[in-house]
Amino acid sequence: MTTTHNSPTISLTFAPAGTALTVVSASGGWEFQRKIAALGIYTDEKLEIVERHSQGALVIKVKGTRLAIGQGMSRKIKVKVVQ
Amino acid sequence: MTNKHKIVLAGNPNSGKTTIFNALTGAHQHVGNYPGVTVEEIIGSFKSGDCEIEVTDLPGTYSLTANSPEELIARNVIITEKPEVVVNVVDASNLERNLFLTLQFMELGVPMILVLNMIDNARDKGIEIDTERLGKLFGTRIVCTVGNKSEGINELKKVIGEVVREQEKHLSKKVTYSDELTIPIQELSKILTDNNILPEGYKTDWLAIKLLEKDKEIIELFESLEAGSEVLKKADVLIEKLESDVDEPSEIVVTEHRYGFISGTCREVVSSTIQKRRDISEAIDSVVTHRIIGIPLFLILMYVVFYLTFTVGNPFMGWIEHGFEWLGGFVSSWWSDGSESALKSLLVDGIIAGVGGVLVFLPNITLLFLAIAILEGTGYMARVAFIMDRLMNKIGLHGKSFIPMLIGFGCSVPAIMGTRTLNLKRDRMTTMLVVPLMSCGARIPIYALIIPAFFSKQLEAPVMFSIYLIGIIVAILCAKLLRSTLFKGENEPFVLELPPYRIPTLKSIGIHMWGRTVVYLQKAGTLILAASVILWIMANYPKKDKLEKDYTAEITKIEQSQLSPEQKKLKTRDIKNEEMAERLSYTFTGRIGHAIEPALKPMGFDWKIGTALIGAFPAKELFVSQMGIVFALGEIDEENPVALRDELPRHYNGLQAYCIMLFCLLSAPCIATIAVTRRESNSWFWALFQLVGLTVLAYIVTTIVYQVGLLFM
Repeated sequence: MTTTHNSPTISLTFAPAGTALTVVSASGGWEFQRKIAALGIYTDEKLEIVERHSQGALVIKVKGTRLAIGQGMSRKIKVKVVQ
Repeated sequence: MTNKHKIVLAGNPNSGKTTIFNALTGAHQHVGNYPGVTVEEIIGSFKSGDCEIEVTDLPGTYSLTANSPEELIARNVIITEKPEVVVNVVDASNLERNLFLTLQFMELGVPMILVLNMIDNARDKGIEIDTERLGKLFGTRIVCTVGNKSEGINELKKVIGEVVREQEKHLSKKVTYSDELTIPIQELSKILTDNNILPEGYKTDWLAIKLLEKDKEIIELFESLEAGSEVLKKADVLIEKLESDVDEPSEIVVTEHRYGFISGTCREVVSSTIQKRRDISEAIDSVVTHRIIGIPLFLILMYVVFYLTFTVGNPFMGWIEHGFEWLGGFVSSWWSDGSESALKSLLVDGIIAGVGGVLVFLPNITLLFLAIAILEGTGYMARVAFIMDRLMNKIGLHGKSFIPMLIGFGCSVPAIMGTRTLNLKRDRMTTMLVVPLMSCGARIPIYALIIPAFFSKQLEAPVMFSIYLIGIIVAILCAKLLRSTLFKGENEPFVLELPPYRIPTLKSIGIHMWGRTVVYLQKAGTLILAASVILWIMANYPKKDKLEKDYTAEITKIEQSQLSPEQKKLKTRDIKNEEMAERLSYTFTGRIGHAIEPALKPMGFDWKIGTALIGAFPAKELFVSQMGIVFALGEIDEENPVALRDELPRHYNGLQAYCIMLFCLLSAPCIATIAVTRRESNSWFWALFQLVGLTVLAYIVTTIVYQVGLLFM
């Protein structure tokens, strides 16, 4: 287990690039959640921001795959920095 | 006698599934559509020993839940058609994510072969997989392949042959999850067995998992069953309990358990020998998806593509043009000189000229499709969708809408088919409706006729560019309008895998390019052929028996006069023109043209342009040959628009010429486009909406441009 309890929960939009993050929650309805879960984004899974684009569009790395995600989506994912 | 066997090929997008499919089946492929939906059904076949194996290439999916039409189809094919084996292709270098789908096949309890594709990539990354152990854990045969080098394909064929002969032994192992999930699954399946309401083809455990996952389609299935409501009620109770126990939505619990099972498996079978370093793909991406240089880089690349499309394509165009000229001459030679044969005219002026006019653009369009196929094959298009997403979002469209619109510059028909990648109906419909505004290849002949005739050399490029630009701007405005009225709603969140860059195989490029080109060719072979015949009839009948003047006598008079041979030729031409014009205005086409003339006046068009526009309805490029007929130049110089180019400025000014191009750009798309919109939207309403909407739009815009333009003339 990683210790994440003392770092604050932030939106993925504002999370730092290049460090390990843990998914805390995803909002936006269960269909959306199930869809991104199939891509590997679900509670407690680790991910990393590879490249940050303007207005919250991101390239992230999760489960060895790089995913491009839009601004609308990065806002819906809440993460914590792994310490 | 050979034995026939049915198998399916399944896997994640970007797992190299299609490459494996092509390597297995070669050219023995058949593309169709699943009934009622627009997901392609690709079937191929090959031989393994004395077995004839039919393979269905399922759409690439990440999951088998009712998230998208592709996922529904993938699982329904497996449930209803009961293939003897599911060949599951996984990306060996990315096992964890890929096995998520594999696990769902195991939940379905189907016989399976696991193909570890791109095993060379995995080894390069220092990933070693204990295939024997993995095979034992999953209860499946395992084959390692490198699809783009055809490595392991013969082995795969052999294994498929063995498995279909004795499939019972290869049923994949049952997946067991931990108690918190297993208990509700067991309770639910017990109810299903006890009540004996198991729908045909389904397994109890699988249905139980799907109910816990709140799968839309399965819930609907039970709602339709008599005893189903009781099952759903029980499922709700179990879901509520599960959710309160773990404080998470049940569908996420199921996902987490699957991934938990997978990571356990991976710990046992995967060993990483070297520390992963930043790979080449990531290095390339740091440039091409860069937030500042990404878009300019893409624009430069597109400029190069279009430039090459035209410079490389032009010589081929010349050859095709000459080929048709020769064919026209050859067919004409079957009749003696000067003989008036309706059949000759139909063949030469109608069919050969009509179809030839379309095929001339085949090289350009093929080259554009080739370039797009290469960009898709390397994985670059996924990046393009991402870097364009922000811009597309501003006009209410999805990043993935961009690629169909790009293909639209070649031909609207494959472009509209390309909207299938969009999941949300509102995104897909909006894209489909505005795609025809991208100036397609068929409009080029119109511009090529008009621009040199009316504009000076220096103005040619800017005028052409302005037309393309107007198309794009109008498309943006229309998309915005549609998304804020008829197709209101939030944008679909953008998420797209960025697969590692690959060098695409020639075969896959060929298949993609050819697939789209064939659509264009079919249009030339069927619709345009038929349209050419109809248009020829409309432009030639009814025949006027009694002409106002005796043209033959007038020509004879000139022949016998003292004029120089040069003047004689000119005068004769004028008289012939006059005769043709008189004959034409008596025909169906001429009458319709005259009838709609008052309506066309505000746009600066006369009955001749109206007639040609009617003729251009089946396919835009027909406008040129129609103008030729209207100006009675067809008889004088069949394939050479130079004559027409000289003729036009005597009748129209530059403003009218520009308005013609504008109207052709914006108005009703060709018949083939309307037909494909109907098919893809599954509704006549939207096809007609597109037809009427764009025509009204074109009328308004052209009228404004003409009327405003007049103020400056």
